[in-house]
Amino acid sequence: MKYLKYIFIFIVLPIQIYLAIWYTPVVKGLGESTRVFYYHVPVAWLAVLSFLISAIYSAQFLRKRDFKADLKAEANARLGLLFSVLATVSGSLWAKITWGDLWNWDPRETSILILLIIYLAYFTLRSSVEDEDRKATLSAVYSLAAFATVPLLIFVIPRVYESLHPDPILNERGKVEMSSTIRWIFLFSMITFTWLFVYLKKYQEELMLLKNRKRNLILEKLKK
Amino acid sequence: MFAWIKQVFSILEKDIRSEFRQKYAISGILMFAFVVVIAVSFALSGIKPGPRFGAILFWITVLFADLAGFAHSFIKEEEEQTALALKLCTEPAVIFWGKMLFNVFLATVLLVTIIPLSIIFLGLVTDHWLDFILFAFFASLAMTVGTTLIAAITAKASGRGPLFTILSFPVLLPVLIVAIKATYAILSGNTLMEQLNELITVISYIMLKGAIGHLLFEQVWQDASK
Amino acid sequence: MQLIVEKIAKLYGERIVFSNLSFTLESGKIVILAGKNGSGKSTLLKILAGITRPTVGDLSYQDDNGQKFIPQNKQIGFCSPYLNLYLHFSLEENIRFFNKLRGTEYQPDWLERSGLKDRSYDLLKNYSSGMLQRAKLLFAVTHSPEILFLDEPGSNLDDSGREFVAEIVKRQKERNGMIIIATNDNVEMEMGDQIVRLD
Repeated sequence: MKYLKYIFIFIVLPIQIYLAIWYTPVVKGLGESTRVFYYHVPVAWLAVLSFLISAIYSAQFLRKRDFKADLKAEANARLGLLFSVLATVSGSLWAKITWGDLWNWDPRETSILILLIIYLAYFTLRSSVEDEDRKATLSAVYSLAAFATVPLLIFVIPRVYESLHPDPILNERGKVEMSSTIRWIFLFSMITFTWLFVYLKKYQEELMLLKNRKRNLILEKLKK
Repeated sequence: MFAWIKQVFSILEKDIRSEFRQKYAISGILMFAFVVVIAVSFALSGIKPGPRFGAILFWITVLFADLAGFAHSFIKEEEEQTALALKLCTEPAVIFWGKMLFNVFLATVLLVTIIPLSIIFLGLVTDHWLDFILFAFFASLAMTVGTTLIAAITAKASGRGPLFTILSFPVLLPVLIVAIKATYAILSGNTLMEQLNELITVISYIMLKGAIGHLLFEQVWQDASK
Repeated sequence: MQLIVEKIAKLYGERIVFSNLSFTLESGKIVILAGKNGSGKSTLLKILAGITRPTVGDLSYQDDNGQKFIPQNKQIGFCSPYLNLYLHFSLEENIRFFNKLRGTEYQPDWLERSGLKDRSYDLLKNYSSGMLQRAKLLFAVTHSPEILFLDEPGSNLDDSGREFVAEIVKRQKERNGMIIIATNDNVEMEMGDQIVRLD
């Protein structure tokens, strides 16, 4: 099992980089900037995934009052913040290259920006509460309240707006509209990034647990 | 059921009475709206913004004026330490809906003030006044429902105005976007029926946020560790 | 009615306020929570009243048939230094409001006993600290709750105020209600039938 880590670092990751940067054919409308696609979309996906996972841990905390669940919620929110920054920035730069403007307020740009702001708000909230129990409760509630806004964003806003965004690759019918090679490289990139996420998640959660080990130990002791 | 409604209205009544004795929230909101409209009008030097910018200015002002006042009723209970007494007397849900109604009251007072102000100073004009007002009311209601839970969170976080604005912004952004789009259309001559998409969005938002708030409020409220 | 507390502990940050507390309280007895300042009396009282959650442990109320139950709001009366009433309203407005929320009837006898009847239409912000304390006590008892929690009930009170507290305690005991007082005051402690020490 441990070898998986090395397989990832020394085989999977280099292959992804090779495929995305050198091997890939070029999409007609996008030119050389096609490559951004293999990084921008996975990272945006991870930003959303982190949010989902963080919200699940938040719900778990509220149900079971398990302090560790709160720490994991925070851990995943940190990752989410990182990914949403990357997604927003890469999206913006890509937009500049392909459509000419750094920001256009099309539905997807709007959604990722809102996600980024939600993460920032989450951490602002956490830093304004001293008491551990209260900090955990309030940020869990906010996380869930913000999460409830997301379906609205995803399904409603695109209908309200005309979109500049390249025809959503996975549209509502689930059809994938791109050349076969590109599709494979894209899928591989998605797998690579999701795999990477698994490691990042594990380490970040461990980090948060370690940071709070003193309180965790006391809690364990009390439970006996 | 009846008793429950009476309790909710007691909270509303208490907050309104309290407001009339110490006019903090209302004066804050109204002054804010007044100052912004005047400032914008002045800066435009008599040029009327027209439907697009009129809609934008209108909703930005409403948004920030609302954010100036919506956290007030919760923050006041925390600061004056009356929250505990409330908590001991009734269920969290009663408090949630009671406070929300109070914010609806504030939001309505704001709308009633800012629409005439916008007509006078921003040249707001439309063929479909009823449509405009009706939609504005619903969008304003959406902003209220969306932020009540957040106001409670802010109050318990011992944060102040800025925290409330930061936390509310992402949650309100969908409403803002939809409101501006529909209002722009109405000011340009469309009827509300033509903007049904937006109205439905707003109403779904209200129902969603109402349900979420109702479910989660108890967690925020019960957590009154000193 | 019984209140059974099993191994409760409270943790604030990394500080253990108290731990491994277990005891049983019965109605009809006056229970005193005693301990130095900072020993967690107020926190324990809040936990017993259901205002705060214990970090660890359980507590449960049982009626005379041994059935567990969760006390409703109107069955609980609570008074403490950090609980405030609405200072910009009169006493009468406050009481009326809280009764409406609780769904209870207004009971004028308690107002009489508190000695505040003449000033009941005055705004609370004009009250002296002693009068305010009586007002808070009134808030706790006016709906005749089965379970009464008093945190430092004698603070700021003169002799007649303390008589009011004594009367509250006596009446509660007589009707076989539960009464729990957190205090450092020796006189108040002597009223107790059962003492839970926190230090």
